[in-house]
Amino acid sequence: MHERADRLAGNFVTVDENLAREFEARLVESSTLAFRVAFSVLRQREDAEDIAQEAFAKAYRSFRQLRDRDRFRAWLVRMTWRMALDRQRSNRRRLIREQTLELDRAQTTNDAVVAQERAEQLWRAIDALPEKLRLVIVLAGIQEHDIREVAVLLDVPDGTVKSRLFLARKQLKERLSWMVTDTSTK
Amino acid sequence: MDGHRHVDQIDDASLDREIESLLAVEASPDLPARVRARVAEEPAPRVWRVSWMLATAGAVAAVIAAVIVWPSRQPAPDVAPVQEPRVAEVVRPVTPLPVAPEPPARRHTATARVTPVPAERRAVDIDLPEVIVAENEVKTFAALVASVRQSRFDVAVPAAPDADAPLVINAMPPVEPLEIEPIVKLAARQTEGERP
Repeated sequence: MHERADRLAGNFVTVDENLAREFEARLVESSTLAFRVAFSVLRQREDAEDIAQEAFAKAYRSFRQLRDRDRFRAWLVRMTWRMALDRQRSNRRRLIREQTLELDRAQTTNDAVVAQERAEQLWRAIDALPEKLRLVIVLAGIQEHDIREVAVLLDVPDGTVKSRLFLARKQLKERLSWMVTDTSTK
Repeated sequence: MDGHRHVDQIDDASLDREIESLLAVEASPDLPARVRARVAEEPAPRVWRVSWMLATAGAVAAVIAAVIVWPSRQPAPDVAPVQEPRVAEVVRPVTPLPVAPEPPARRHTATARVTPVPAERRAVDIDLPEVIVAENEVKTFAALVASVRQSRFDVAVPAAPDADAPLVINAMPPVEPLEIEPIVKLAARQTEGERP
């Protein structure tokens, strides 16, 4: 009887160890993905890292259902995106960051100011996209994901990703062109 | 118009490059370590097998406990009260239906269930609602029964009674057992020249 119990306990340990090993592998390969998804929303390193960390903690709680690699990454992207949006809504630091950027701009060179301005325009244009288009363009821009990879991450057909990418680029270009026109007329 | 010119100026490749450069931000190297530390605070996830085994063991234990405890809680009956059979309260006699003999194979397997019940015991002590049948339907039914007795099949329905006429409640006419010859036998007789 004791022998059986010992053997059973031994099995549990093995299972836990396997689970821990698999989770470690997912953590190593997907931490940058989670961080960048969060960063695309929050644009603040510390906040993005906090969100990535929380998303992994949540993933760990449900890891028995997320052992499949694709499923795990898709879940992680969705969870990180949602958590980042929630954080963005309630984030006071954003205001402080924007104030800091203004200060930084005053101290940097002319070229750097132009580059920074362009980056801000692009971020604003991305922020103004509908959520579905925004997520697609961000995921396509992270780690050079191709259409297939983005489709797997979002659990949608390749064609949907293609059409969303097309629309997102079109809207981005339009918005950017208006921003450039506005700036040049000023 | 000016805006369209600008749209054409930005090509997809350069836009993608710009977005990639915006997102090419590296997390601090200690992020995985921080995640590990954070995860270590979480309770370890159990695989489904463990939880299933525990749940199954719990369910089995509960069933065994219920089986052991339940009979001991029931008080032993002193004397079973003798109930008068309700057969005496029969409200309507039911004509026994002719029971067709069962095929031998089925009778062998279902002997206990097919035991014929005396007619008076089959009577059910419930009040059925009065059935109201239109006069023309009663006549149609009677005519149909009569025609079947003569090996015919007439289904001419008399005209429905006037809707404004007072309602007459009719009982359905009693039906004596009918004997209907199989069509094959009937056809054979007809080919021999017999008229039904």
